[in-house]
Amino acid sequence: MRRGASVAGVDELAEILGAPVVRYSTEPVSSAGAGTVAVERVTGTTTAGPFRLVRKRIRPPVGARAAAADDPHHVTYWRREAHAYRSGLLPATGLVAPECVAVHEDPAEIRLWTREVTAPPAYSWPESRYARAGRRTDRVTRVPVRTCVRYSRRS
Amino acid sequence: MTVVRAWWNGRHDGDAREQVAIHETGGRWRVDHLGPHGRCEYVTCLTSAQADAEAARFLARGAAWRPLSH
Repeated sequence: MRRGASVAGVDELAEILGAPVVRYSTEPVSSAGAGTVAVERVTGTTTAGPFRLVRKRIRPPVGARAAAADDPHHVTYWRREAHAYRSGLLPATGLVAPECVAVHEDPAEIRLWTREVTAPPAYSWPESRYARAGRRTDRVTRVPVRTCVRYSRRS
Repeated sequence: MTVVRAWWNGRHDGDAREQVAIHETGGRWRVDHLGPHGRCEYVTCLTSAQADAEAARFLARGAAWRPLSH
């Protein structure tokens, strides 16, 4: 049997949504990375109505990247995103993260459940939008705007 | 969950392989369609008959299905 069957997560989904799940489907929306198992759009219906979520599954990287990914001070620390969502410190206005509806952790992995964000993909943005995003990012992370604009020109 | 019945489309390559399975546990039924390119669909069913009907709906989309031993 393929692995997908074992991670269907219908009970977890019902717990998050607070209603029995009638049907749902998943499709990949991003490629996996060193610590990212999958990023999937999860859509369907419960007895209470339709839903659209994104599930990101992350695990500690193994091999050469493991030590760095386990260091909270390293840029690739694998739990950082989960900690950020759990912290309650993410901005609620301006440049905001997708609304997180649940962070589930078990011995195998962490699953971040967020609302789906429907917006044009960043690669189609005009430079002015990158600049605006850069100014807002600057406020959050102190990354200089010129860095963001330079990055946008490269892609 | 117990896999009651399952089928696959005979393809070994990950992007083309498809699988349909009926699961049951404690009187709860679920039908999975693990499709190509990582797409998956799941349907919760109230009865065995409904699970069979949902599985038939998934199977009707494809061809060359064969029973999957598990």
